[in-house]
Amino acid sequence: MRITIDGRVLETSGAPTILDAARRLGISIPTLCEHRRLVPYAACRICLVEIAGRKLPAPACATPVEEGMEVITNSPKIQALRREVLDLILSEHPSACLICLEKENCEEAKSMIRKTGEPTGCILCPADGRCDLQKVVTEVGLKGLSHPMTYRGSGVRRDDPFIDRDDGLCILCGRCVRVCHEIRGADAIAFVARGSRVTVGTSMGKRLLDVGCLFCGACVDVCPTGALTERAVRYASKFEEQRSFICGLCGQGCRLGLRLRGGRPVDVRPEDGSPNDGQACVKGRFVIGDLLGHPKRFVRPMVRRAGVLVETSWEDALAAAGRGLAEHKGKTAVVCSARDSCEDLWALGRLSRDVLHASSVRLAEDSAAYLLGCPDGAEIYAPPMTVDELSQARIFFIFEESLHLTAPIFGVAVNQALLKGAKLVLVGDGEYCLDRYAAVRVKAGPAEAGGFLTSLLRVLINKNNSHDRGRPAGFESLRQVLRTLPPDSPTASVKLDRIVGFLEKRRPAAFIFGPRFVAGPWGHRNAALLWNLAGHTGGLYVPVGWEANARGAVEIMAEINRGAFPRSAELNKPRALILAGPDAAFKRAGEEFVVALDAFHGDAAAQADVVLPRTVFAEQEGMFVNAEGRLQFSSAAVTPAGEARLIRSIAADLARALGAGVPALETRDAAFKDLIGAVPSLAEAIRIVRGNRPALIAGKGFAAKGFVDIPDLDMTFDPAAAFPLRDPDDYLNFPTALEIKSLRTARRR
Amino acid sequence: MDETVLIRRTIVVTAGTCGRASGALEIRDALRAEIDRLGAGDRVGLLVTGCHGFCEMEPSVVVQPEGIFYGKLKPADAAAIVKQTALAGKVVEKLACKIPTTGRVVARLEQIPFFKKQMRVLLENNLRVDPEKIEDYIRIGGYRALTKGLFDMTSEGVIEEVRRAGLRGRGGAGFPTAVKWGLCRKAAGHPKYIICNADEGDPGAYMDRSLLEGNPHAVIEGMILGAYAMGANEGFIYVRGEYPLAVENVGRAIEQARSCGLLGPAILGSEFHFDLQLIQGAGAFVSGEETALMASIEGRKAFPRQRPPYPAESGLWGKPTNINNVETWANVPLILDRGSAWYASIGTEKSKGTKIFSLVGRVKNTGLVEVPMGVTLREIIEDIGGGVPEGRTLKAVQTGGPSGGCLPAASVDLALDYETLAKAGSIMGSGGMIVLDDRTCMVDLARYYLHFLEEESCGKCAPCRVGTRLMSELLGRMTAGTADEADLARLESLAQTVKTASLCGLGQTAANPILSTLTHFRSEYEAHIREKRCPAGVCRELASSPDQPARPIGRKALKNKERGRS
Ligand SMILES: Cc1cc2nc3c(=O)[nH]c(=O)nc-3n(C[C@H](O)[C@H](O)[C@H](O)COP(=O)(O)O)c2cc1C
Ligand code: SF4
Ligand code: SF4
Ligand code: FES
Repeated sequence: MRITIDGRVLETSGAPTILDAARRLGISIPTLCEHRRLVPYAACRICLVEIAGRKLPAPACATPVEEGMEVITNSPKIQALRREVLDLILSEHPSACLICLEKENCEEAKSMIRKTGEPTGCILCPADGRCDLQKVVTEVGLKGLSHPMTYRGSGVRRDDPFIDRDDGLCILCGRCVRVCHEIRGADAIAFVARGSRVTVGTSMGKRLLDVGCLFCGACVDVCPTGALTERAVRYASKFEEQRSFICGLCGQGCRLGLRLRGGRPVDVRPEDGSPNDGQACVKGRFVIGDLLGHPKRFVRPMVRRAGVLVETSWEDALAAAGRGLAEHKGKTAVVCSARDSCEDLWALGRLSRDVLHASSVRLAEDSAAYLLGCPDGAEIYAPPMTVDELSQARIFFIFEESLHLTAPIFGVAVNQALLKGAKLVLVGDGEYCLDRYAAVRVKAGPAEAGGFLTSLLRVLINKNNSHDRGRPAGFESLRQVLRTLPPDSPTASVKLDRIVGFLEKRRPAAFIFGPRFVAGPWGHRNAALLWNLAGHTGGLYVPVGWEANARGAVEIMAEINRGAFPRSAELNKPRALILAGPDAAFKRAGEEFVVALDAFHGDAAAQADVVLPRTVFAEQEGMFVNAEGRLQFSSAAVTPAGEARLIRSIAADLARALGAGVPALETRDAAFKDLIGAVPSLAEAIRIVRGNRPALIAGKGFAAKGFVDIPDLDMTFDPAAAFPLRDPDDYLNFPTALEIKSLRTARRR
Repeated sequence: MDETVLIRRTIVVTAGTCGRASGALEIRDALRAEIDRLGAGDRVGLLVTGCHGFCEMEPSVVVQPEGIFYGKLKPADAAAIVKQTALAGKVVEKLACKIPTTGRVVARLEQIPFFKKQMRVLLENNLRVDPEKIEDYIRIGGYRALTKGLFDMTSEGVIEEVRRAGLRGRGGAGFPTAVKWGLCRKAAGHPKYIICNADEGDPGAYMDRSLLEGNPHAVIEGMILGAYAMGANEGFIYVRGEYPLAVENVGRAIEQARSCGLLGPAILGSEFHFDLQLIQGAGAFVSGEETALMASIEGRKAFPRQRPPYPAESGLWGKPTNINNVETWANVPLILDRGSAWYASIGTEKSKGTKIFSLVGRVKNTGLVEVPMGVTLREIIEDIGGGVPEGRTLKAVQTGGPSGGCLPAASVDLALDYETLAKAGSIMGSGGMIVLDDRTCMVDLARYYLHFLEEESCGKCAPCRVGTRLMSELLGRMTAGTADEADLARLESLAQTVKTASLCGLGQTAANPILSTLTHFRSEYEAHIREKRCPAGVCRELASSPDQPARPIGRKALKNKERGRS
């Protein structure tokens, strides 16, 4: 297709809008309501352009290009029209500063004052410096206003956590309402009333807390004005720099930008690009600043003297730890966390394996979701899967997971697919935020869901419409097994008919489950059933790891543990413990010596003999593998709190203190090389990184593995010995987690 | 069988919303009681129908077959009507209409000036069917056109027939219906939907209501034919919630059509399937805008969206959709039944068929009038409407509702068709027609409309949301005598901005009431501003001519003026 914009010709394919085409040509058109990820809305009318042959000017953001179209973006007439429209918009927005003659001179001073209830000009507005309206006023060249000012505000609303709302600044661009619906699927806010009284509000004017708001902050991030702001930022000054890092608060691995002023965090913004593409969640968006500088952080090492933990120097603490651990070589257990970077885990692993000859190294968290991808765990893990692939699915099976909370970015992908008409089958015995979208709701917890899955698989297998040409391995034996199982109850089969009907028309399917669903005696069985279902329907097998590096941790633990540890019952009773994972339930039981590598004061650390303050994500560089299986590198966005050190450095320090330095752990580069050399699945993914594709961890898919047997329930399962299933919001005993949790339970769906 | 032969006359009680409001149901009961009392049930029939249009005369009856019309009845009149007219065929003089000038009694419909000059191809059926009975509609030839379309014509053939008839949309813009249908038919995408727009939000207009109340099956038949022509299998009738009787009658009619095999699978045994759903709107002017209406059906807030893409390409749920006005749909069976040649013989070169107007304002006879396209305003106002009341002179005619404009008295000889009206600075719109006499202040009139639009703007796009409010405020200041020359300039420039920059038809036409009154009555604006004088004597705050009583339009006037000043 060939179009002309301002006399310049563009050949385009696809169906972009005039705005897209102009941007490709480097022609700038001012916009306000347009947003990259949202459906064009055409409400602000700032982007109007002239099109030859059309009576009325058209909004560039919402007008598809047509063959031979001739567009003019900057005629005097259009420029005048834009000024008039902006003039109208500003008559409803405190605009004194926007058209002030002293505007330029004021810039410096402006960053100082923020503490005001209702801003009456940019000088008092929390959005100053990140406001699109300011930019557009400059771009359009508006010098004065011709209409009487109308103040539409009804006061700043502060009755919600994190977010302040100020109608008086809103220009009704609708970005917030659209992001809440189109991207997040929360539909917490909407336009209320009509005409000149229209505002952005909630149902019956309730608090956001009471209308299903997820506090993901997406609305704050897209608001072009100061109408929606993060409360904390209202009282901070303009940020000076933004540094990128990977969020460590869940398994999605969002890329976030930490905004700093004078080296101190002001604000966090999700960044564009994979995997989160401008989205985050309440944790990433609102608590990281607090987390980094929390008063409960350990800033100096501590050792127990006369029964009391007292602060000391690193030398002293390391010496104490070295002495204690040296006594229990071979009888030390090490608990790591799937939240830590690959380098950190590798360093701890090598310390344990090669220096301490530890009796066991394990993760504090349950990684069954990945391990059980296939029962012969250690070798085959779930195949990778990207958020993009997920958003293409046409039917979703979600098991026991409130995705918006545990995997917000997967939640976004699912929401987008649902809006495009995908169907949702929701399985679980609780209430979930996706309930209202479910086409079929199966009330069955992890213990009962096996029956449902078995029936579904049997119906599908008997239909023999295997997606795979030829018979994948294990098909016949699976069919035999299924035949012997008892028939369905009639009510169940009604639902099954609907689901099978969906599956016939809609491919691919996606089977999404989290740790809860594959824990317990039925865990193996549920996982095997899901694996077979996903394989048989050609669907996506999607375990949701709750921890930042769950996938990477599984790979590394497998490598560290490969045949290295004798597992006699006696050795399972360790004499010493290195606690580097968050174990809120930890009770010291007979260990003679405990070293905690922790970031926050809490119950676990309080029982330790030596506490070594560790950094948290955003303070350290490292590689993380997210729930997609994507390898991501995070840099350090801020300097560590106090004297906190990286886990990798602490491991190297401890090795030295034990008189056996491990050269491979001394620098990050060395540690990384060592790791890649030892873990082939990571090495393979890294090799691919060099190309253009995302670095995805390898994992044998269904094509390679075929059907797996359906194991019986694991009767030897011992709940006492099992991993306690943590709430995904627990982070390193981080106190704010409790606040978020109570906020969520207040309206748990 | 024998019984029906005995029935000599039928008393038709017109009981649309207007009739019921003035007591039509009491008249019906009185007639019923009277017939029973006389034991005349076998000789006198009673038919309750929709509105005949002469709403001013309600409650009224027509005694058929003679067509004897009695208006402004009281229940006590029932005895005379039954005894003298229905049983004896005699006219009850004291109940019949009289020609005001001569005092001559005119009892028969076709003699009454209000009806005489009309051409009632759509409205006449309102007197012939009980809207609660599908049999009535079928008896007068209803669904014959459908049989013809389904079994004798291809779907292209149906579109071609509509094209030859020259039918144009009655909902406002007058877009050729067959072109729209053709686009929807050709559009890729499945399923396809059709919609009947019965949101009718123009103040004072109620032709759509009257059709739906009086003869819902005509609209349903038109829609089935349209669906057949476009390949749609699902349709929606979007009725504003303020029309409970229309909702009731349409709902019942859909049920009846379904049980008669006229809706649903295998219509009349053909392979074509189609079904209709009734949707009630919450009644906002803007929900009549097609994209807003579709958003509302989808369950979203009735905000319009930018076109293109047009509904024919991407409408309801992103699928090809055709939307037509009630009257447009009601015309379709007529065209198919009587032929496009017949239809095209009515009207002017580019505007075919008849159009229903709601004639209100300063005329003697107000009501719904159906006339062939191309009649002059004079014919409507003087012959049908009986002219403006004694002692007053015609000043202007407002057509097209809030999006329309004012034509000065000098243009009464203009022929009413889409092009002529547009050229004269107004629009046909959906058929609102307000006759204004010399007691009307044009600035006040513009203010009234702008206030209406300010309230009814959806608020989505900035120019319309802010612009209508500011224009309404400026006009408020003018009528309050606090405006200056600069305000007039500001009003004109605002009008242009809102017109060019707004998103949907509401905003794009919102300035019309201002622009057309400015064109023809600029001096009135100037009098308000320079001399602080209201020539028509309407604006209370201003000095008025001594003989003129002050009478602002609408109750909201004062409230708005206060806002304008503050
Ligand atoms: C603000 C606004 C209100 C409208 N209200 C109505 C209405 O009440 N009824 C109607 O039929 N069309 C209305 N329309 C026109 C519709 O958008 C649409 O053009 C019409 O229904 C098409 O039908 P037609 O082709 O049969 O005329 C309105 C348009 C605008 C801009
Ligand atoms: S709150 Fe912000 S994003 Fe939402 S409509 Fe107002 S200006 Fe736009
Ligand atoms: S022109 Fe008016 S009614 Fe139409 S979208 Fe804009 S604000 Fe809404
Ligand atoms: S950016 Fe195009 S209309 Fe707002």
